[in-house]
Amino acid sequence: MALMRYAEALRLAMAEEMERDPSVFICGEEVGQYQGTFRVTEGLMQRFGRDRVVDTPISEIGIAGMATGAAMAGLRPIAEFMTWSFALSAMDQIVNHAAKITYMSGGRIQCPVVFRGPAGTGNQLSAQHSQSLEAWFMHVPGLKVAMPATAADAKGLLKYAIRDPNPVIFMEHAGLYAQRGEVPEDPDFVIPFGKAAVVREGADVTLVAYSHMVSTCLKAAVSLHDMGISAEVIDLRTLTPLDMETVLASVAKTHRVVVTQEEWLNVGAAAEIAARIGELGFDDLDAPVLRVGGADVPMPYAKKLESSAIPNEQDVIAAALRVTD
Amino acid sequence: MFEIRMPKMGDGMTEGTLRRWLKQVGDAVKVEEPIAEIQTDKADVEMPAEDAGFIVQIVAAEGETVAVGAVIAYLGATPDEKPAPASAPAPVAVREEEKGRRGEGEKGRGGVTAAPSAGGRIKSSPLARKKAGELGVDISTVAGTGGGVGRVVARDVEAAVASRTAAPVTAPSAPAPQSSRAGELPPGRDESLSRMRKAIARRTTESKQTIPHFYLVMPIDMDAALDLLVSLNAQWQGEKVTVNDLVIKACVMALNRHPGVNCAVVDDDTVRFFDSINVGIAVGTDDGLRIPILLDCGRKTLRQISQAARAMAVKTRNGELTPQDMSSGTFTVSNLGMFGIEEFSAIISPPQSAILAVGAAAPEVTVGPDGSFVARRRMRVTLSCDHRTVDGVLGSKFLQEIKGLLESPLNLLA
Repeated sequence: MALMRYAEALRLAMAEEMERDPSVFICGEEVGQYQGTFRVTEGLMQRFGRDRVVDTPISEIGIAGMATGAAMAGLRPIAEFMTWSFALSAMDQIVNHAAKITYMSGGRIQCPVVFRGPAGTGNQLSAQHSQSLEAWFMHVPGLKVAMPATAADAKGLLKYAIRDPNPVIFMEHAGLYAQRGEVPEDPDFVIPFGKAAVVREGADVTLVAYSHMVSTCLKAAVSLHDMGISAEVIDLRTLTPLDMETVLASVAKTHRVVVTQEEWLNVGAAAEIAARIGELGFDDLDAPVLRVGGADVPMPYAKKLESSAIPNEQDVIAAALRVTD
Repeated sequence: MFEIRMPKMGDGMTEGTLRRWLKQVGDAVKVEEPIAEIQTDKADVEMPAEDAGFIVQIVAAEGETVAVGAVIAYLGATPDEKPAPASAPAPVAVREEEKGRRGEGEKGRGGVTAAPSAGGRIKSSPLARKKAGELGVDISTVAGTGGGVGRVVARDVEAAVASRTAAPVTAPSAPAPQSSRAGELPPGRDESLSRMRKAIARRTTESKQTIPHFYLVMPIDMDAALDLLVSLNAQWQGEKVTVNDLVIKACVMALNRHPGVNCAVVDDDTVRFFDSINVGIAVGTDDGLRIPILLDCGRKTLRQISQAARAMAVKTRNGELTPQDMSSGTFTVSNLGMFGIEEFSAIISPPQSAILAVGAAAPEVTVGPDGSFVARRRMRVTLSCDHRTVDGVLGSKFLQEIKGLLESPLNLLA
């Protein structure tokens, strides 16, 4: 174990996989010479050379298309988007090509590409840079979606993503990059997709979270504890595949559930999770399934408006109190 | 401080009447010592103390009917220990005060009112409904405290069961007594129904409303069986074997052969096939119907069944049947042959799947093997079947088995 930042854990995962497998390479804007906008790829070009850490022109459709093609040709590219908001111009490459080629070729062509980069809200980055778009990718068959909440998960899930033969949407949270955590140094440490973690056990209400909302829910759980309510917190880790087994087992225990996300509530990840709880766990429910999410507006720049648009600890506590009332 | 609660003294017991206190406030009580007489639907029973101590408060007055599980008295370690106030489930009560929001649910205790929404539909959580089903609680009698809208949630159902201030209702109850038609009827003397009559009303109504009955009649030539009976009674001095004993033995053997009849509906998705064969014998007494059960008949000989039936008959006559004597039946035999009834159809005793109604064995003219008319003693039995579990073919094969056994009765001695 070593104490390191979330961003360092991601870098370690990529470096280990590049050592292990010569077909792994990195491409993206400013990933090489500039060593990454968030310093995630720091030192990697110096270590692995320009052929394996490739600076690209400012064209997301070009980055995604090149990476998808390279993956189809047998390499294992890690394509970085400077933020996931910029990936919108690459949607055709991701949705219509990377996600579908294995299916359309009858399994003859694999596409082991990882699209990664910062997602999430905050830091006064305003409407075009501060948004969470995971539901867009969850919606598409053929894509896997991972959203790590801790440094250890960042490493374990990214290594799994690189080894996975399918295209993976790997959404990091800019607000977590500097967070430290204990990370296993074992180069064989991977976290398989589709296995959620119960990060805090509780008896009265289940808080379902992923990415940054995990720490928000853990803080809420501490406050709820002081109010006499025992909250269980689940970190989903990946949205596709979605580990409903762990969620349902928890709901069977607590009978009340709040699903949280940073993105807008309309047709978000929480809506899908809540629907599945209704379909599969109906008889275990003692209260309506509630969702906590972002305000239904483009992200405001003004600090106070921004913080009221992003779901926080108080929002989670209020929802937990409603379902346990 | 111990709570003494109304015990559940048999299947289907939901409430009991406190007939008489055998101990008063201040009296010392030893474990197992009778402290009260409880009247149930089926019998009067003495209630033994589960803990030692002193009666410090009596909650249920003599003559009062209370739900199973309700507190009827408090037992203290010393004669002057202060009795607790009301016994409410503590954690919920604390939170109610904290939030000052569930006052209405609290008020509902004792005369509990449901919380229907505008459309008359009762708001309840899926879990509360599941629990209510499992625990036999009518959700409309439970006060809802959940979600700030009076929704019935799981803790309300649990509280209702624990306190039993809400009378539980299992399955549909007899509808008639609720709406009095005293005014519409010609004048006469009104008499309140005994607990037993009420129980009969409730059980038979439940049976006819929830069990899809159908009936199969089978004639049985009883000449050989009645002849066997005469010779058995000549040999087994002082142990009178009856026609009914032969019928019960035949039923047991047929149930062994056709276990599909020895079953009960558990819920919409499940049927339970019983491990043992427990035959109830419907016995009419001056104050109503009783069904003592002969337990575990599957391996009993005719003689053992006859002895057990005789012992139950004595207990029934002397009014000594306990609720246990009348619990766990899996099949019932009802015989009105001694009144000259030729045939009748009986109402299934829930949750069983079938009941056999036995008529009189009487001489009838029939066509003999050579075409001549001969007089034979014929008995007609009618099987009432629950069509959810027993189809016509199974019921018919079961009756054929009984017929074959009684017409070749030496098999009953095997």
